[in-house]
Formats: sequence, C-alpha cells, structure tokens
Amino acid sequence: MDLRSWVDSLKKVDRLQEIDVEVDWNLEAATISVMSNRVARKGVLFNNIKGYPGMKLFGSTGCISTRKRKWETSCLLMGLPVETSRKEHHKEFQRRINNPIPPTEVAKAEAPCKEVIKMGKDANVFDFPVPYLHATDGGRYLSLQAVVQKDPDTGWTNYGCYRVMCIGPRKLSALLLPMQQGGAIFYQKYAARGQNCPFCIAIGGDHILFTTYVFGLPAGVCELDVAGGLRGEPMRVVRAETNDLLVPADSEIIIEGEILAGKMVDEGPFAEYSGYVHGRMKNPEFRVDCITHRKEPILPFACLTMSLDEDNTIQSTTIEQEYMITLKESGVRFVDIAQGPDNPNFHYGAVRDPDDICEMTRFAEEFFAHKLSSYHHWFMLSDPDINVDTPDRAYREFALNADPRRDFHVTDMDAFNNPLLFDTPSDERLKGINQSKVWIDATTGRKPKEQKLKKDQFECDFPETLQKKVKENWGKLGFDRPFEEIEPVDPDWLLKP
Amino acid sequence: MEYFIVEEMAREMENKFNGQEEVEVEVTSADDFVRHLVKAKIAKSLDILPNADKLWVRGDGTGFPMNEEPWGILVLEEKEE
Repeated sequence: MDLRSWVDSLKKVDRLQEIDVEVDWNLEAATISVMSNRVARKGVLFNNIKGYPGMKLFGSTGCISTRKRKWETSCLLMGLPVETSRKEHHKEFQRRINNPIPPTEVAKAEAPCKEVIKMGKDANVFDFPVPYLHATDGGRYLSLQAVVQKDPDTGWTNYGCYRVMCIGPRKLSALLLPMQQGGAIFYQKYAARGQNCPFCIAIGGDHILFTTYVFGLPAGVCELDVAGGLRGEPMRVVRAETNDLLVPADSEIIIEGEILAGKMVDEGPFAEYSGYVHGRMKNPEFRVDCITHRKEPILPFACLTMSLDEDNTIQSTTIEQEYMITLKESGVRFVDIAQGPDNPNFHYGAVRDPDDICEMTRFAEEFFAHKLSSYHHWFMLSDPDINVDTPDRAYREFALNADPRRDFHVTDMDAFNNPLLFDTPSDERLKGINQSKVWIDATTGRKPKEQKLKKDQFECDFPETLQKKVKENWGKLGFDRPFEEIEPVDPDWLLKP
Repeated sequence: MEYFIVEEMAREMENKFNGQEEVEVEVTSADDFVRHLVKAKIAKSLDILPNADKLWVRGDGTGFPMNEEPWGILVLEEKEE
C-alpha cells in the first residue's frame, strides 16, 4: 500500500476531486483544500501545479469523516466498511495495535522512493511544490510527514509528525517541542555531545502510517511496528542513502540530512491545528544532504484550520483511544472517553458511577499523567448514559449539572505548559511552565435522592412500542430525511474482548 | 520583488533603516519564500529609496504585516552563509 492506493480508495468511494486546471502552490491549493474540508468532504488531487510540471499536490487527505462519525477515515484506512460503528472500529483498532508487526527491509532497487536520487548541492526542497498554506505563515511548510530520528543511546527509531519549514534549497527547520521524544529529546542528546543528529523526512507512503506518526506511543515502541499491526502486514522499509535510518520504501519523497548541533534559526509563524497562529520561535536548523523520490511524486499536505481536518479525523480518533487504553490498563472504571469533534483540546468522559468522586479523581489523575495531556488541559465527566461522542448532549449536561462552586476542579500551576496552546501568557508557554489543568464534574452524582433528576429524551420518555411504531412509519408520515437512531450506551463495551 | 523580515530584527535594527546605512539582514522573498542573507539599504518609506523593492515586517506573533505601507529595500549583495 502507498499514498497512491489511498488516492484510489477515495476515488472508489467517490470522495476524490481531481483538479486538472492550473493551481498555484502559493495559498490557492490550500484555500481549495480547506473549502473541500468544510463543504465537500472530498480529498483533492491537484494534477497541474503552477511551475511544477509532472508533480501533484494532495490535500484534504482525511476527508471521509464527518463531525458525527469522525472514525470513518480510519475505517477506510484500515479496510473496514465505513458503516462500521464506533465501538466496532475502536475494538478492531485496539486489537490490531496490540498485535504489532515489525517492518521488512527491502533492497534499494525495490524501493519506489529511490527512483530519483539527488545528492549534495543537487538536492533542493523547492524542486517540489511545497505549498504556502496560510497567509500568515513565515514560509512554505511540509505538513504531513514523519521526521525520523534515532536515539543515540538505545537505537530506538522514532517517527513523529512535526511541522517542517522550508527555508532554503537545503535548509529546513521544524517545531521540536520539549515533550516530544524524537523531535527534541534525541536532538538534544546528540547536541549535548557536540554531534549533529541524522534525520530523514518521509513524505507519503501508506497513509495508515500517518495514524501512527501522530500516536503518542510509549517510549521504545516503533511506529512502523504499530502501522504493520494496523495494516495486517509489515511495512516495507529501505535504508537511507546518507545515514542508517530506515524509511518507508513506498514513500513519495525522502529528505535526508543532519540537524545541526546548537544552530538555531527562525521558524514560524505557522497557523496551527488549534486554528490559531503560533508565533515565530528559534528552532534547530536541518541541513539537507540528499533527496530521493518517486517519479512524478505526489506531495500530501494538511492545511489545518478550525474546520474538520486531518487533526480531527485521523489524530483525534487515535488520541481518544490512547486515553482509553491507558485508563483501562490503570484500572480506572469508566464508560467512554471521546475527543471533541470541534475542539481537539477538550475531552468528554462518561463515568460508571456518578456518586463515586474517588473514581472521578482517579480518572483525572491518570488522564493528566498521560504524556499527551500536555496538549489537553480540560475534560468533563458525564453520567454513564451520556453518549460522549455526540457532545451536544454533553454540553447540556455541563450547563445543567456542573455547579460552579463545587464541580470545577482546578489543579495547581504545576503542569507542563505547551507552546501550541494559548490560554496562558506567551512567556510562560515558551518556558513550558505554570500550566493548570481543569476537570469538570457534570454528572448528576452526589445529590440527595429527592434532587435526582429524571432524564428527558426520545429514548426514555416514550413507551418502546410507540417509539417502534414511529420509527417503522417514519417514511409513511412524509418525512424525507431518515429516522435518526442514537446508539444506546453500553457501559461495558470497553471491557468486552 | 517583495521581501519580508521578522519583527524582532526590524525592531533591533530600526535606527539603521534610514536608506543610507548598509545593513546585513535576513530577508524572505515573498515570491518563492526562500530566505536570503543580504547586504542592503533599507528605508521606512519607498519615497526615500525610489528604486527599491517592497519590504514588509511580519509580526512575530500574528504573522500579519506590521507596516501599513511597504518599506523599501535595495539589495546590494547576497551573502553566502
């Protein structure tokens, strides 16, 4: 499988828009892609890029999902029917990642990403239509790729998705945040020894890889093993030309080089996944030594805005499951956890027993101890019957049940602060200090019996026979939109094999 | 040609942007977004440097241009880094 297979998959389900008229890499491709995300929900393949004959851009790559069914992109990536329920998708996803398959190394002659090889001064990132994505960005950015680095102490290779700014033909930089394993920690290990850190940037390849590049996997776990598990077959990898890193052999483009020890350059501003502009920072300089690529390469990109995009459709589905797995393994008793479809920084949980404040506190402790929670400062807990994946209902619970005097739990300012979030002063964010966490108890728990509220909705207000009759006769009554059933909450679904 | 420079550099070197003094600055081309280290003369008005290219100051936090009217830059020499 490769990126072209994903393009074909979208075409088969009529979710691909091919554009043959000339489109500019300078904002125009991104503008079309964002509007497709907003209204068309189609991937966009740009076949005719101004100034780049024979090369293609591919935007809105995670377009299948909708706000109500954000796991559908993941279904198609995993070869599941898009009609698969959230429960079945998550169960299958978790089964597959628990059965990782290590990659298989292939000879360079068998690797499509080696069809063209350019070394040294012949290598130029601007030979590719790297898009200018937002009018406020400080430069052209690669946005859908893995930065590949190896831990010099353990040999563990990390594949992480970081934004990469193209500064010159052989000069790049990337946002390396302090809590990221490969990005910052490995680089700092090399820099402390006065050594440059070898890197590769892998663009394209099996699109299921992207699911793992944004996964907050535990230290020592290789993203390619997990991708193999998700795909059900090993990823094909090949050795880089100028270092010993392994990269996906079916990638469209591989950029190789070294991150220069201690040499910092201006990186940013960049309009980030949150929908806000993240300002300029000093980040390490990447020197490009070699570029290999397929003939007529396709360069995928993600133009992240406040619309439903790859961040919501691929990453969010992955992240909520990471929390599920961690909390389940820690023995926390809960029904469900979901990331907000419109707000990747807010999570919704449903607890098993709303009267058990200790269990809710444990939920909070485990959630905020997870390394990914540096991106997530808020969550809200609801009753077990609340479907937290449709947060319009959860919002109601928040407004009705959360007592401002009692139910807002705010931690001390002792958490790591994330430069990409904007709720604290910028100097604190840049230093990574003084972040608080908040969780909201929006359950009906711990109220006197006489104050317990009776819930009021279609599924519990009307006799089952009448519900059934209305459902069966819905079309006959003259309604042209299908009857919408809300899947009942199953408090044990996470525990079932 | 149009260029932009980052806000911090513009603030630090502001008093040298008089159209007379030669300064060494990093500028980004607004045509292809390639960054260059150049020796140049810079003025806060195109009237002061009539044949100059346009120069915008990009806000470090917002990414928006800080100057309502373009400044002028006369690139004298591109430097090798």
